[in-house]
Amino acid sequence: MIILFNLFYQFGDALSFLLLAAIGLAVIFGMMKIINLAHGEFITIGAYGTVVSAKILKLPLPIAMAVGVLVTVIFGYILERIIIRHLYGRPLDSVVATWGISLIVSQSFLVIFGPSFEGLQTPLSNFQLGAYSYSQYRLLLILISISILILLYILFLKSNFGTLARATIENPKIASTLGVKVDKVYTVTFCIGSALAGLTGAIYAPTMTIVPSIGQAFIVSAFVTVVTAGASPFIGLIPAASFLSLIQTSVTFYYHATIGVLALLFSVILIIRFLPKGFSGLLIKLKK
Amino acid sequence: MLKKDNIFTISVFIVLLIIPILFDDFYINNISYFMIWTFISLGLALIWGMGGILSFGQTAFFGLAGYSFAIISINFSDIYAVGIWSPILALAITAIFGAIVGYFLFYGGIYDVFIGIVTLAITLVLETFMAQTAGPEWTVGNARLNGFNGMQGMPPIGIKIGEYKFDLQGIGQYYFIVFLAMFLLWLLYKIKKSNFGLILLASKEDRTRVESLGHNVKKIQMITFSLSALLAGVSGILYTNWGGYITPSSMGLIASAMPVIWVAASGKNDFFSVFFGCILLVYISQTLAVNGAQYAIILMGLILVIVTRYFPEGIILMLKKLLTNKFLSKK
Amino acid sequence: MKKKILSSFLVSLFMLFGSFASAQTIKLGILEDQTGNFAIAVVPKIHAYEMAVKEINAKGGVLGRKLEIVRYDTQSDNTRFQEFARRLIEKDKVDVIFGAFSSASREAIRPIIDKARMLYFYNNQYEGGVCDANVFVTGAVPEQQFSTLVPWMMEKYGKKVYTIAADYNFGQISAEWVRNIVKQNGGTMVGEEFIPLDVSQFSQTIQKIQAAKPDVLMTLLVGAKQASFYEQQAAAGLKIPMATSVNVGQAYEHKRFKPPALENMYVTVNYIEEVHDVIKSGEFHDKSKDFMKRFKALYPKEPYVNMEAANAYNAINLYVKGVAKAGSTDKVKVRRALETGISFDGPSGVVKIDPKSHHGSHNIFLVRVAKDHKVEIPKVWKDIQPYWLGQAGCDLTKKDDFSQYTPSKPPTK
Repeated sequence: MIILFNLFYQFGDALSFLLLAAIGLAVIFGMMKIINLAHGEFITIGAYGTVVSAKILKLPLPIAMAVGVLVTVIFGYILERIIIRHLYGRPLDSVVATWGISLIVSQSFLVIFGPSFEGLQTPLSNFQLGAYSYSQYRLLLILISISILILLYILFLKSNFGTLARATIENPKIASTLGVKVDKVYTVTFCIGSALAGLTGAIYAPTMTIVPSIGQAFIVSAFVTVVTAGASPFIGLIPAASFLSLIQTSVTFYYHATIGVLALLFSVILIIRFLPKGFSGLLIKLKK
Repeated sequence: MLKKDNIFTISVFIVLLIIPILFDDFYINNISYFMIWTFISLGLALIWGMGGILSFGQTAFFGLAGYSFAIISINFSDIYAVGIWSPILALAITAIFGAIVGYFLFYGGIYDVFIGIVTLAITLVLETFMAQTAGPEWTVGNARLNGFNGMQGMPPIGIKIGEYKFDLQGIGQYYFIVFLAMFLLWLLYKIKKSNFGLILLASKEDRTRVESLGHNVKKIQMITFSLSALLAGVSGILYTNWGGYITPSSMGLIASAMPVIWVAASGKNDFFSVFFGCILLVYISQTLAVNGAQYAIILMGLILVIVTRYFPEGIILMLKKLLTNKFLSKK
Repeated sequence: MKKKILSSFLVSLFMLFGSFASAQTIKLGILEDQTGNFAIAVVPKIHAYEMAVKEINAKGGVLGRKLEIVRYDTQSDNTRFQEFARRLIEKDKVDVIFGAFSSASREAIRPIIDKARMLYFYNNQYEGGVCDANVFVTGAVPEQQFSTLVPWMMEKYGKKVYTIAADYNFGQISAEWVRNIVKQNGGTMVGEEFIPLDVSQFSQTIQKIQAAKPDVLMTLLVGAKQASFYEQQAAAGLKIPMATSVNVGQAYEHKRFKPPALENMYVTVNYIEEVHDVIKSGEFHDKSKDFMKRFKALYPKEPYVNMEAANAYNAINLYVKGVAKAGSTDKVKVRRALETGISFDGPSGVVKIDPKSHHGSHNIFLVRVAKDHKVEIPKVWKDIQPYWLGQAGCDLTKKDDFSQYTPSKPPTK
């Protein structure tokens, strides 16, 4: 019984990490086709926004987290206005610009806040089961990640805005002739992506070392999860992240962490080879 | 058009050829170092600029070639002319690996960003694997892979006949790289003009249509991919030879983004622009690091953002076009 | 007669040239990561170099010549190390090079240094084993940090040891040392896990440790990502005594992390800035207090003065003593002078260069982090030698070598 819970906890923990790493990118890369190499820095901004407002402004943690998200949204909005909007339709050029942004942001954090910032303590407590003890906060993360995804699914696939957004990104010209304010849709979508990345930084901030490179810990996981999720990220994200975290946790369980990481990367290669349209492609196919 | 292009190419190479007469060892070695990175960039320009396929993992081939060269030349250091055939063998291994990956990609129906992620995954697998090979069990013959700390102690490229010894170092290395770059640029332009190149260019626009004309696009893409791997391998071997050292971090995430950035910022559709732009960008980033202290990285980031924002085709290519129109169109 | 005039002319010419040369500064090349991943532990090192140079110059330099620093920011990037090592050698023509934080960056420049026959000081604790004619090491090595720490921990807490280590050279070789010492002292390894440097999530690792029920947990983790382990183990309520050779003494985790993430962590260091606060009197108190006073006078805002800062400070002073003894900056002469067993009385007492291996001896402090992250020093081991390389067969006074060895791959005798 304990073993089962243990496995569930480990799997859920890995799953929530992949999901939260990926959600912001799922919007910006998965939907808008901007290869956002600065995704990690969006997460960094969320994390620093949270920690700084909790430490210096002494705000309670949930409010500090909201500030972290807000700061990331403002950053995303300005960035979209100045730079990103010129890159729509040239996804590959976005690599260079977003890499440049990532250099600027992470180095600016180093200059402003120094190489490290005192961390926060993980909220909530821990509980004991047999020989094992668990952090309650990490259990909460699993719930949070899945509920965010459900919300996104509703927002982008069921709501009015979602239909507009998808139509606009699919074919901006037709959308604009139908009276959609294309500009606005892009900006809002980008801001949502930024908010999600900021949220990831905010909720992981209490569990990690606060350094300017904190966001880079997420970037590889984020890209592999979004890509294996496929063309319709909100459908594919849960199966993709589940599959990848199942592989990683079980391999790490039997061998060790390095083999786990290698197995994760290998399974990404194989998934794309056999499911070139990712998990969402597979699901859509099965539905038909 | 081609002739006008040539004027810039030729003048840049003339400058490169006379540099050793004017400057001392430090500049020769440093410029050699800048030029080492051009080959991996040219390979990427071939597959990305001409083929429309963005590979994010060219560093996998860079590292594979560097390690193969190191392993072979350490193991057979006593055998005649190892300094000549070991880099060639390492390149062959790299090209074959490139072909296998290419087969896997193109015959597996993988396209677009998926190629970028698969190749990135490949290079990260290699990095993660090589980083943990510090233990004594990870040896190939006499060569210790030595994990994250990297391999060293490989004999340089070169030849030894009796007492006479020629190592590819200093000024010899410099001219070798310049001539190799000239030859490869010429070859790449030939490929671009060839039937092969035209099919490749056309496949970028519309793959299925080119296929319906009876061309084997997959095969062409696979060969191109293998060629680009080979070019990345040239850089890998020259880099290993330059510093006597190769490390897993040259296959990591940051290293793998660099060629993409150099190529995109220079102008991926023109080989000479990529060659020149790559030298310029490596030079700028080094100079900023020497002088700019902690603002160097911020400045580099700004340059990249401004280039993509205002020079979408790549800054070198746009400058070249501008100069061509201004000075040479009157004729 | 003519010959005599000519030779006396030549001698005077040489003397003239010599006097010109003696007026020149001695150039010290420094390659350290002012930015990038390692900046946090490296910035105090850079300041320590500058302070040593200022102090020596204030006393008139050495051989009548002043010291001059030529420094580049290597950005925690191995290729930058290679570029700038060449720049220091070929363009700036320095007399000696100091620097590098990570072992990988040291290995990246060692081929360049050996080829140019440059003199090089590596001033960092590391996995040990570098037996290189041109290289001197002032940082602590495993036989100094583990042969003290591991037996002490086993005696205090029990004989079952579990190691988690960064999966690269440093972690693997350090884990090998721990394994050997545990066995020699009649203990058992109940588990060993190697973790890639990019991993930042440790729930699974924590569960595995709990399943093995060790008495002592060796945490040989490196870098900011892996440092997240400490907060995560505290949040999960792991509560097993931890021991390491890397944390606290380099990147001052006990100051940066929210207590009690590091509670009950033991570290062996050859210096930290708290030495004189904890040890209330005696030699160590006085030397550390004096050093910190001078340091804070120059750099009042320094967040923490770590052991690598002390190593950097010692390195410059050892080099200068070598130059004084050699009477020249000639690299071979300085090397031979340093091989006579030169020592320097630094912030944590005497550091003496072992002629065979070019490594320094150290006084080793056992540091314990309390619940509120205050530091205690339950034990000091005096004058611990870097004995392993010399015993294993590295003798640079007799035979040049340019290799790095490990316990499982020692020098071939």
